[in-house]
Amino acid sequence: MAEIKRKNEKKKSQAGIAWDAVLTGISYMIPFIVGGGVLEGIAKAMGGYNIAADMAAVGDYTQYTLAMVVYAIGAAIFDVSVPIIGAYIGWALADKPGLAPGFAVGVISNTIKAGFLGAVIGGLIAGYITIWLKDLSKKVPTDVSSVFPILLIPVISTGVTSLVMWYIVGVPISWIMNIITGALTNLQGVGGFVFGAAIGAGMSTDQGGPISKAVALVANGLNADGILGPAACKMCGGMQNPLGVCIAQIIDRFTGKKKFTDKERSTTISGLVLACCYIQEYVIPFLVQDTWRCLVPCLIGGAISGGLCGYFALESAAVHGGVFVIAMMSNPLQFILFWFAGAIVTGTLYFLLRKPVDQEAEMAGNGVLDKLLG
Amino acid sequence: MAEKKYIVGVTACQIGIAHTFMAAESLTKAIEAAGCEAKIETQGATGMENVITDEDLARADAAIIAADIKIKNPERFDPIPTLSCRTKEVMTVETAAGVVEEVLEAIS
Repeated sequence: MAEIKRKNEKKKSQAGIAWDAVLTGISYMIPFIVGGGVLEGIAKAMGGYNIAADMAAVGDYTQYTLAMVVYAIGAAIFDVSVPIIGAYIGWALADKPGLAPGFAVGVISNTIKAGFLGAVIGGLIAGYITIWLKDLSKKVPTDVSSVFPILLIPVISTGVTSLVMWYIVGVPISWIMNIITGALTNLQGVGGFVFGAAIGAGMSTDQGGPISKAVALVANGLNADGILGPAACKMCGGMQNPLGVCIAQIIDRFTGKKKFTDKERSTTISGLVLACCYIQEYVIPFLVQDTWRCLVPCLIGGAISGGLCGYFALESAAVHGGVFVIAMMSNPLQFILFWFAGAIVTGTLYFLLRKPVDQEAEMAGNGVLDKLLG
Repeated sequence: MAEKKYIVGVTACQIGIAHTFMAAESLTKAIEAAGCEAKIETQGATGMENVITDEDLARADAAIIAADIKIKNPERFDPIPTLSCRTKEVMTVETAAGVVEEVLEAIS
């Protein structure tokens, strides 16, 4: 590539490349966990929270009720999410030949119960083995090199990666996953509060930036492994931020303090819509403009929302979707309550901390809102 | 006066609903502010939009790829000078202007 060398650029580290690959994998996995999770949630709303057990009792799938069929479809899509992340990590590293071994290792990861973590590590292994094989194919005589893409790479990369997963790498991972699953299933009370508060505050740091993404990654990953509590903490902690900022603006409007510009206050309604859609990015312009006064209230509110979800062990099958998936949570009313609890704290604190601004001042990055609302 | 330079680009963030489009907008503004023509493709959650075509590539002077994840069809940009960076580097018009300046310096 005719690459333009950046001034003062640090060479991209191997860890940086691997991290990008993991982000790519997650970005392709999200639609699967959203689709599968929401369908499972709808099925639970239709056929009761214990639908999985009822299905096992029925046994024969031709005898399923509609709710059971919807659940079965959701579960099937959900099961694919782990292989998909492996597949796209492999693809991100090694291009097309990396896709198959990544997918294979993800399937194996499901089989040996190494879950999401197994697929992430397996996908990386698949990618690097495939890169190595591709390099090797360039070094052998041309007669032989044509065999590489069509036969050797698919067979060796899928086989070797899967075997490595099964016998070596997967063993400690499934052991770790077992411990994590044990510790997080049935987690509630004070322990749950601390864990949930950490997730909620983490989601409220950079509003869609790298930190909240890393936190979301953990919660989504656990969700893909069937631990549904962190997703509720994550969504509650995340969704309280835009709502909190809107509440601050509403307080401002009614007290007549003019701490926000008219332009900012004109975004309140859009902000509420975005809050309902769980689009935290609404907060970014406020965070950029006045970092500390915005960040601290958000962190506190996030910890409260997330912590309360953890304390009462709320579960969410869906990892995205905002208000549209609240009905599918284990206790929708509690979720709404905790969401508002955090947001009211965030909003009140933010309002109190904020200094009156110059009414003529242009709000930074306002194009963001137009774009988000399309 | 020299002919107006044509700069194309791609933006892609992890989730693909907000940052991808924010980056595309500020990058477009920054390129136009530098007196060039701009076309930025977005690879967001809805797939590829405002796609950079072969015709665009044939007359493009440079490309900017601002992505946090692996983009689709990166090999398209092989023949032209290309700068790769993260989406956050072009998230505001001010930072994007710096990136555009680097590109213009490199191709002048």
